[in-house]
Amino acid sequence: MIDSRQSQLKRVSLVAIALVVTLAACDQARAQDVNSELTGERLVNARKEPQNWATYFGAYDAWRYSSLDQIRADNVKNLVSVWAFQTGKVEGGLNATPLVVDGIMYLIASENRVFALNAETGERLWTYNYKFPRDLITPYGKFNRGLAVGYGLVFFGTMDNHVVALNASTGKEVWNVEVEDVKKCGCNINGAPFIVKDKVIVGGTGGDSAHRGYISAFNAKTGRLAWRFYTIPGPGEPGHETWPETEIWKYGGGSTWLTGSYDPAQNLIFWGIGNPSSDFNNSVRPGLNLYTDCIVAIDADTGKLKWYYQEIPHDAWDFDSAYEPVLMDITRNGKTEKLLVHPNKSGFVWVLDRVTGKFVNAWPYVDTITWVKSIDKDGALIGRNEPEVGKQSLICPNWGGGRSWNHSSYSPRTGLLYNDGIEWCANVTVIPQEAREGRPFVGGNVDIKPPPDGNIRAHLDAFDPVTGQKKWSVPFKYPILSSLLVTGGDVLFTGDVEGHFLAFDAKTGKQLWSFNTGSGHRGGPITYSVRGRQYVAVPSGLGSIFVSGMPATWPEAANFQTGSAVFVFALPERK
Amino acid sequence: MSEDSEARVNTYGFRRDVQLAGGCRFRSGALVLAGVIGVVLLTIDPPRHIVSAAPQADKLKESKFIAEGEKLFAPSCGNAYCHGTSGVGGGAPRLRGKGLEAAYLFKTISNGIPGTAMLSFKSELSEEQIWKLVAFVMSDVKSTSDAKPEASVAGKPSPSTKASAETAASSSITGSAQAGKALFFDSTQSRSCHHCHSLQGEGTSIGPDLSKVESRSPRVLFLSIILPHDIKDPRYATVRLTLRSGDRIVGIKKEEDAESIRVYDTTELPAVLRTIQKTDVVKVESANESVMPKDYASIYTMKQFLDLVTFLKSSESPVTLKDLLE
Repeated sequence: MIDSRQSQLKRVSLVAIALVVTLAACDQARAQDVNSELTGERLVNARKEPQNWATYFGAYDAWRYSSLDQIRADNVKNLVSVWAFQTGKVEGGLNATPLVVDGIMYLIASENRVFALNAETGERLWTYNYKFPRDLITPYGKFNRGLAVGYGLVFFGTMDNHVVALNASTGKEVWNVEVEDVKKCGCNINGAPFIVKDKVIVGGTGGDSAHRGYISAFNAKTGRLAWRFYTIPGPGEPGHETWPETEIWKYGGGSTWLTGSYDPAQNLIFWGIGNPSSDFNNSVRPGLNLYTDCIVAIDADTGKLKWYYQEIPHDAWDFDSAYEPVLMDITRNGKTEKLLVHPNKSGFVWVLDRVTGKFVNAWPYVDTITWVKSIDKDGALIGRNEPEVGKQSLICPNWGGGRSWNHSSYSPRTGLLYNDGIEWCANVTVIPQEAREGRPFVGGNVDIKPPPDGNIRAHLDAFDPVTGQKKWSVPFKYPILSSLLVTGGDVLFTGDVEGHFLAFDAKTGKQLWSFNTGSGHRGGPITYSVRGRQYVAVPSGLGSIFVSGMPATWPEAANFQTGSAVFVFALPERK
Repeated sequence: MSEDSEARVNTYGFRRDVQLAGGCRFRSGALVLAGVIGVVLLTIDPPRHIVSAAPQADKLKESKFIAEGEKLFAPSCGNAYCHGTSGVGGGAPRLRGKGLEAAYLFKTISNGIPGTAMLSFKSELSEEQIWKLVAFVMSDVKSTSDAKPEASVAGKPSPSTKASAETAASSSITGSAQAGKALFFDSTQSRSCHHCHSLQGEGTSIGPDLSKVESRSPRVLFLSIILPHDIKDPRYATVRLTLRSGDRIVGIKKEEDAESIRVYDTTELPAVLRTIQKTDVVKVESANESVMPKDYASIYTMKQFLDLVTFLKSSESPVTLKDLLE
């Protein structure tokens, strides 16, 4: 009782202080940098603040790496649990990556429930429950992958396709803008926004519906639309000629459902664009179908296209190029190259020059690939195996991907890209379908099959990011559906679908530690520090479209319990 | 289904249950009464009150009926993101082999499930088609073949979006309601009407709902789009806030309480609902002018105005250029 009254008092005083002086900090836990607002400029230098995990990928380069090194491969076995936070609603699991800024953790859970927590203790500072229409049909689920923090605000997209900004000190709504009517577009937002300069950049779902995708930039302080980049060029725009002279371009997909990266030196935002629709029936859209399955580089101030590279022209397999564009500078043969390394759903990682957009390499991260025979030295797809109307085709990997959307990580210390893979296939049947605005527009069915060489299986691997040379590999029975995290202590963290939070030696792949959180992992683990102590936080809570589909392949997965909690670990305090 | 014997059978072999909107169902002893109510309801507003024409149980087991359901199921329901090939589960739950009941399936396919991704299909499929889906879902998992490709449906856009000016009659210049609808709801245009107005439940209700403007003359509608005009309803008056930061917000006030004022900022569209602390506000001004953009005359062509007005009038006969000018 006393505790709860104290925390209530504390909350009241927090609100009062926020109103009077707009400063959030009233205890030492949040003492760092309290006078310095988290701005776009500070985010550019996020790597200089390893105590924070201030953006979805940890920093603009999308490495999912932290230089913190208190927890190391040689002491990770001593980790103890410090606190846990239950979000209170398990439906939809917990897909998010939490953020930590100056001792406060910001977390978004399913149904757009947002929490601010004391990152040392787990004490809840405020809760925000998004009010959504009760009759809402949520086209791409209630899941949410994350939020953005900056300028004293917390930003997120909603399941009914709004973008909302909350006051980071109080959790009260500051602005709210409807991006597009969810009932018309059949699209919504479950990816994390991110802040670039004074704008908040947001993508959206809709790539398996009859919809035309886009990336929007809103003024962070006012919510006013600053620019919008359509992923399918309209009439008169370059690239429109890659679509037939029907109205299909209006329904051709190209969603932007995950989060991009940013290169401040070039002021370019990089984003992976989703598949064209209808996904499997590409006969309705002869042509290259730009900019679907592309990496696009767009000017952060204007939203204008600088360059694009199309990984999979005229996609027929639902292989979005939506996954994380990882930015790294790599020195080879005495020359430093500015690269963009991009795992794709199709089982390949593409490597591009991020200044020119030119192809550098493409290498497979799974063994079983039948949709194409090879990719030549110029990036051309050789021997496409397209599903056709009237014929069943065995396609590997299947629509679920050589990997799901959960992100890779890159360590500049080991120079390795960590990534997971799934060996599986599907019989694909093309079913022509009529485009109806905002309605599902998939154009085919899949029947999951094992690969020709054995059982369905998964693995966690470490690669040279440019050549694809495999350094180590750990087999798994089920796909890894948690994002990866690698640290300055050379520890690689991830979680499995049965609930184990796992630590590996980033150099060798040797498993060092495990903790059973009781529900599978589908979000993004992070690390941060407060007052000199390093913490590792992991969301636990199985649930997503991929997870719903698992029982068709692994019947026992129907009984993998869901949940929605964050677990936080640290080394024991020295007494 | 035990009630089969007492079911009335219509010419299609469908049993016609009479069900009130509230969910009361009259059968057996109430059959006569139900019949009477049914006739009354039919007279008043038949489609809304008669919920289902349920086929006989035998019909649901007919292999041809099931096969037709399977064909319908494959593209709409069976894709990998939804219920998976043959309905054994994909991104959405397994349906077949779970013993789901016909009435539940019919209702769910018709209305969707709010709070989930399950869409309503009643606008897309006829009742008979929905019953075919029900038959397929209820059928034995092993008795149906693997989904077979169906090549007959061309992948062309739906008619509702094929709006084009060419549909206008050649003798006089007229508008197209379809084209007007496309303009009204064009999400790619920042000035599109739906950003601020709703019509028959679609769009955004920041400004006045336009469902009832059809009684106005085409000329009045046209002028109200192109010319700045005063607002009679104080709910839509322009409000101008000057903030301590020096920022100015122009828009429509939604609500206010002791601490804050909530304003639809219409500076850029889509409008942003902004919650402003009163302590941050220096000055509030209001005016009975409209926040509606004043540049439509230079955005739309005459043909597009005809289309929009024809759509707003929702009349059978298209609005002609003459109507706009007189």
